[in-house]
Amino acid sequence: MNDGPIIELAPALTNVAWSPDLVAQTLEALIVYLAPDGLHHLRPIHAPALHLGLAPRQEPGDVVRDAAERYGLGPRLVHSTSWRHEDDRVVLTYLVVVAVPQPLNENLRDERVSRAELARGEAMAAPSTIGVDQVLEHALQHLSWLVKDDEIVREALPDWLDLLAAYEPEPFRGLGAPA
Amino acid sequence: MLLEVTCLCGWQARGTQDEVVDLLTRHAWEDHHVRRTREEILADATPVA
Repeated sequence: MNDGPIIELAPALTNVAWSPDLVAQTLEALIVYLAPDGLHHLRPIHAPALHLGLAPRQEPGDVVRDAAERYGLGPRLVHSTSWRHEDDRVVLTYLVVVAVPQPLNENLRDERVSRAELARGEAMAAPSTIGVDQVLEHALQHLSWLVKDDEIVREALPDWLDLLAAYEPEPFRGLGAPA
Repeated sequence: MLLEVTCLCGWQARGTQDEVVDLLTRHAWEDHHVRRTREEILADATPVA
C-alpha cells in the first residue's frame, strides 16, 4: 500500500489564531455570479456558505477577495452587507460578485438563487434563526439600493441593473398595513 | 495558541495546534482521500500573530 499522498491538498484558505474566551469574528463570503439563466451562488461543498477567519491587521475585503481568487474566480465587487451574531461569534457578511466561473473549482457547488423572505426580529431582539438564503436575500436588497446610490458600484455591475431592480424592497412592506 | 482553519471545501476546525492537525488529518483522508503528515500540514500553516 502506498502511504504517500494521493493528491496534494491545497493549503487552507485561512489559518488564524482563535480563542473561545474572546469575542470572535468570522467573515462570511457569499459568492455570486450572474448567468443568462439568472443568479447563482457558489458555496463550498462542505458548508452552506464560506466562513473565513480574520487575523489581526488583515483587511476583511482583501481576505474575501483573495479567497475568491484561490478558487480561480474573478472578483468584480466585494461589499459588506450585514452582520449577525451566531454561535457566539459575530459574522460579518460580504457579497462577492464574480465573473462566470470557467471552469468551476471542484471545491465549490453551484446553486441557483431563489427569492427568500427576510428574517425579521423584534424591536429589541434579532431574529432567532437566520438562514443563508435570507442573508443572501438581504445582501441583494442592499445591493439594489447601492447600485442607485453609489456610482462606482453601478459602473462595476452594469449588467446587474435589471436583476437588482426586482430586489428593491417595496416601500413600507415591513411596517404592515396602516391602522 | 489556538487555531482556526478553513479548508477550500468550507470545512472548519478550531482548537490547539495538535487538535487542528489531528482534525485536518482525518478530514483530508475521510473527505478528500488525501494523506497528509503533521509536517506537511504545519508547513502550510500561515504564521499568525
